[in-house]
Amino acid sequence: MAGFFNPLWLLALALLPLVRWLHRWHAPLSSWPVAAIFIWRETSADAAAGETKRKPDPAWRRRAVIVALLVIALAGPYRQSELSDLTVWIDDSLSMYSTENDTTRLALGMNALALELSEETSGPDRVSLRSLTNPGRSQLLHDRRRIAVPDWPPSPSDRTSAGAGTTMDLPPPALLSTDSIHWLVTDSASDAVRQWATRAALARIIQVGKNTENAGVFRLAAGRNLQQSDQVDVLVGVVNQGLRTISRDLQLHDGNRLLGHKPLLLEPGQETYLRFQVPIAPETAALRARMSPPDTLSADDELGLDIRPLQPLPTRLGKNCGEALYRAIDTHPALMLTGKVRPELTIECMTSTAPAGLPVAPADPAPVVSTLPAWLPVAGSAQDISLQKPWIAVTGGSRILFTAAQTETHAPDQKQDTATFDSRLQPALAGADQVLLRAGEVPLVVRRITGEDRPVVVETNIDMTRPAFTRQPEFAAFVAALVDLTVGHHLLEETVSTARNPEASIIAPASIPPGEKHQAMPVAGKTAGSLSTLFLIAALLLLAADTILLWRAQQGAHRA
Amino acid sequence: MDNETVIDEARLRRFARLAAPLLRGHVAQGPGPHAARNRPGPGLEFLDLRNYAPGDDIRHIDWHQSSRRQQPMIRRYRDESAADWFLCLDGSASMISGDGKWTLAAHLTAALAYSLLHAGHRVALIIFANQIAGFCRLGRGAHQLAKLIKLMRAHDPEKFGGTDAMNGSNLGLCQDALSPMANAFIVSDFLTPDAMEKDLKALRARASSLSAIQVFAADEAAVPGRGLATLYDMETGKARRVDLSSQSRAQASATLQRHRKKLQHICRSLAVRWTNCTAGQDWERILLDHLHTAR
Repeated sequence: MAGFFNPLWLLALALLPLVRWLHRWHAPLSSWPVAAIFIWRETSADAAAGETKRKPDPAWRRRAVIVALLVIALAGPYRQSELSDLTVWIDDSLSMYSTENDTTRLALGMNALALELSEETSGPDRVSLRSLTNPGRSQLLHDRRRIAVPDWPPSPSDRTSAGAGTTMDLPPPALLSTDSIHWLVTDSASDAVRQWATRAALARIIQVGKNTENAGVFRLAAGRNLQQSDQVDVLVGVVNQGLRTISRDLQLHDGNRLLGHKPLLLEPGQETYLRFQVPIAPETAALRARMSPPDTLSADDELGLDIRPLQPLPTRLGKNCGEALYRAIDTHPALMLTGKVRPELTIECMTSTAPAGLPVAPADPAPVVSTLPAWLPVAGSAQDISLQKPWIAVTGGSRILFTAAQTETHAPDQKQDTATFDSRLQPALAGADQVLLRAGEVPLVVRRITGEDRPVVVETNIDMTRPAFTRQPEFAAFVAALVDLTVGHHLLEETVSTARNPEASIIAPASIPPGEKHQAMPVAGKTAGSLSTLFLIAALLLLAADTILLWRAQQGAHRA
Repeated sequence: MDNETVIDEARLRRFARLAAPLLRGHVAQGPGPHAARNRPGPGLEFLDLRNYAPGDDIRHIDWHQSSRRQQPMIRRYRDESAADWFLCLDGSASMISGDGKWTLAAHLTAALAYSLLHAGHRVALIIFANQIAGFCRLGRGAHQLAKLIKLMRAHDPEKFGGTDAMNGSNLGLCQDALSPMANAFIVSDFLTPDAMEKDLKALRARASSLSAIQVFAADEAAVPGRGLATLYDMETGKARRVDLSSQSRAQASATLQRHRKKLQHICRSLAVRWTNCTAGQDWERILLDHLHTAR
């Protein structure tokens, strides 16, 4: 059986007589001498005596066929044929795991699908189920009347639950196979799924689900509490995607221990964030935010977060490092002094003679740098160095300005009792030491990558025991910056978070507007193979032949 | 007639020998002032004497003169079978349609002139188109042949065509130049809508004998190109839009065949000896066949 997608285009075939009429006035391209014109009298295309019509150029037939083929191609001819394959797209987004009378929508959809297939007396025997959110997941049914719900994953995948910070990655509707009939099982709660269903050539949509009320946790974030190193600040985002106001209790768990809870009252569509400050034990690995009691979609009532990156970094301090450095490390919220053999950060201090050219204040009689600390992390690489204040005092009366944009080195200005040096905060230089701070030609802070065992070593020549420096409030910040430089990231600013798309918590079904593809799609069990391309190719071939004939006629006329 | 298409004289002589007995039967029999003069041949009027040659009829030996001159002498008589021939060659533009058509017509005319002159007849040439394009009076001998050839070579059929020609070949113009009771030979394609019927009738009434050789190009309906084209008459310039399909070519060929049969019918009814030939055929074979058929 054949038909047209846009049969109105066929009305353009009425223009064919116009093509013939136009060819009446077409002047012949060539003229030829003959011995006697009277022998061509019977074949003349001119109007003979008594006739009123002038015969058209016979090429009009060829061109009329071209026009007809183009018109038919525009009308979208198709040929229907019986199909043997049925592809059922299963909407396994988060909302499909909401329960209706203790049964998930996914199970309801599967049951409805099985019922529909069993009612089909004639149709495809080969049925394959495909995940809409993860087309790579498919299941081939050898017996279309036996569709078991447990065959499909009973809980939402990572794609549909956590990590769904972006929209769902659905298969392009235009790429659906034309050799198969396509059905869709959905609750039509997701706007993305509804739009996809509108554009896709679906023969049937099985819609399930009625519930509309749902609230969920969509964000959980934690960061270090800088005042109390054994506590973390927690941020929980919740949303009410239902149509009525809800009342819940939001609980924060540490494994089996309840760390805190807050009551919730959310208006329809309201989105809010709750803040907690909770203690964490050294062995705590994860936090879980949970809404109680659970609603129809329990999968979005809970969100877990790995907080191990927020645990203090075990640090070993060398014996010669002095009290000031010890205090600075001990009071660092992200560091924890330990006596382990293999800590995650090691600080060694050695005494050496100050390099020649190291600027010191004239008032200081001892031009000796007493310590040479080396900062050794177990892993990671430094990206940059960042301090909140632009300057830091190194020795009495002298100052070093950290300015990332400054590229010139200036001599110490003794009159102003201030020395300014190039900070040289440059990107890592492969295969060479990176000087992060220098005084004149003398490097003060150097980062070097030594190998896999000790990937990053930060060395400094700054005297870390001189009271004039250690008593300054910037000392602690300088030590923290060196630690950040060594471990490769900002320890004090570190946060961890997880989120899901708040729209994934919408479970209210909505109607799917009929799309163009649905109207054009023939009845289930048949497919429409478009024949437009064939007609278009035929028209182009004929056009090419007509052009060649025209060209040859012109060449012949020129030769004549 | 180009130098390249000049006929070999040896071949002409051979043809003249073959055509001589055929031409005798071709000449109209009957009284009249058209007997040849001063040419030896069968006759009653004494012409002259000449020495005897082996093969001469001994009945014509003049014994009295042979005795006086001490050698055998033969009496010769004026040949009373010689006649006047008018060769009417169509020199219109249609004669150059197709390769070799004009060349064949010129060859036929030249060969006829040679054989007639060789047989002692007087020959005149009329080249006609929409006017008398060339005329050579009656004459005989090699000098006359040279004049005829020169006249044909000087003629260019292409000049006698186009829109200025207004009308095509006009055979009737030859009527005035034709001597009464002379013999006439027409070489033409006869491609006029009426197949020159009216002019043939007029000539037939004036001439004692009339022959017609119709010369066609290899394919008069062969026109290059396809599709819609304008065809124009080489002689009259009249134009017509024609679809150059195989069907229309077949129709034109059929019309041409009907026209040929029409001319054949006209010639038969007027007792005009008629032959049709096509460019590319051998002129000698065409003429011998024609003379044989007409005998």
